[in-house]
Amino acid sequence: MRFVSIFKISGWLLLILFFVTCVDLERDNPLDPKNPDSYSQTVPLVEAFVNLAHPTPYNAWAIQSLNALSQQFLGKINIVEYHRDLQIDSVFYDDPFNETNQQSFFLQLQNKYVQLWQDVPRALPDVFLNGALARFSGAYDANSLKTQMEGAVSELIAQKNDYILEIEKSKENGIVRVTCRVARLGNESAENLRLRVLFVKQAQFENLNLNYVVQMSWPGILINKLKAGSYQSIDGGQIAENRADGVICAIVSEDEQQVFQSQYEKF
Amino acid sequence: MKNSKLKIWVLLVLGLMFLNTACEQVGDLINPKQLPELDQQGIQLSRDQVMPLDTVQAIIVATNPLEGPMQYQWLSDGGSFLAPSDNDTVCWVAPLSGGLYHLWVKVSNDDGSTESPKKQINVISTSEPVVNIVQPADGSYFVSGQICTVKVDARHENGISLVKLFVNDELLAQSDQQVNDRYVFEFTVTEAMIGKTSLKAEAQARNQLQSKGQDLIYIYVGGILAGGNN
Repeated sequence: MRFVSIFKISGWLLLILFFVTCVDLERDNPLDPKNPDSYSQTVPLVEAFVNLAHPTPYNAWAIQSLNALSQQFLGKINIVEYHRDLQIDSVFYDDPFNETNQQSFFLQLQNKYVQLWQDVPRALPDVFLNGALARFSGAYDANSLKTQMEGAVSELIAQKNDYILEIEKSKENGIVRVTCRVARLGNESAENLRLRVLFVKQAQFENLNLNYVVQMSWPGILINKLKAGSYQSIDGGQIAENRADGVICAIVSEDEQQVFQSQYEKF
Repeated sequence: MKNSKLKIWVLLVLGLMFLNTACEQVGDLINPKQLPELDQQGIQLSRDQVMPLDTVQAIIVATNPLEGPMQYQWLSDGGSFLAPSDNDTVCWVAPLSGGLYHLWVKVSNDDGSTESPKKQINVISTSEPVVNIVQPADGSYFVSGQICTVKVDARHENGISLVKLFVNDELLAQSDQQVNDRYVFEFTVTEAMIGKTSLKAEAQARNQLQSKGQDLIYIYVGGILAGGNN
């Protein structure tokens, strides 16, 4: 009888303790979307419009110096190369890594960025940081873009970010399908966003390592609203396994001129 | 009654004061002041461009329409006079700092004084012109084909005769046109300038020494290909 009483009392105490513990459990993980103070680190996106067919060394310098920048911020930034032909209706200086069916997308995107930086017309090489946040046209040696960009990249990396991206891939019959989960951190909702999906591939050109040549891109997929603390899974499309060895997803503004966050996933 | 008397007295005093003034003016008209008359050439200088601490002799030729002596008071906005400095001829010692200075003299007789026009003396400065490239900023970045505007501030006590702009030590342009000591140049950045490019501005003083001052900055020029057609 006495044993039963002690058992009952202990049971009640455990139950009370359980509830008290549950109430006190705080959502203080900074990456937990349900935490109103949650944030992630910014992963800047560097987009380079280049042409390797022209004999001048400027575009090779640009890629070399972006490779140096990538090494400096290893895993903390994403760099992509949009290989552009100099002239769409001519075979002169056709870039060897150019995807013909992607030309109009590359050109439209570059034009959107150049609109905000009209002191220099559309050029090659033309490099943009987080959309049109900053522009770096031209190159003067194999280190020039690293020298010019490292300050701005450091500042961006140090900034807190309100988005977190997770990429899921599934391979089947030589096809890779990508799904991107976009979560809104912090305590404010976001509207009118787009998801940019860039399938990329590594390549070699003479002595030049091309790390992320854009093979295929999805025009910005519209995300009407993303409530604070919520997430959405978005179909990022598919690509033949031999055409790409990774994907970069980026959250961008509706006009596509600003990039807020990016993420890379290797296949 | 008392008020009326007071008014009359006030009017009387005022009347007398007016009469006194009027008489003086009339007197002046009848007997005008006979001030010293200065030679039309004004002050004659031995030199009007000198080095610091050089001596300049200044002479004023004046005639006195009245009987009696005249007094000379020499004045300047810099430098100093050697004694005696109360004659028609005086020696002025140029100051250490270059620049434009002025000399003038007041000649007096019993009726009053006449002041001469100011005479200018250029003291040659041995210092170099102060030159400052204010635009573009040191380390600025350009791409080939872009227009580069260069603004240069150049000053010297004796003025600036010419400002030259050198790109990578080659003379690109020169100018003597300035607004508020600022000289403006424009040039198109070429492919030959790709890399680290020096911009040097050199100013020449407007004096016998033609001393030169300069400022040097570096810009970076990136090579680009025109972005192609649509």
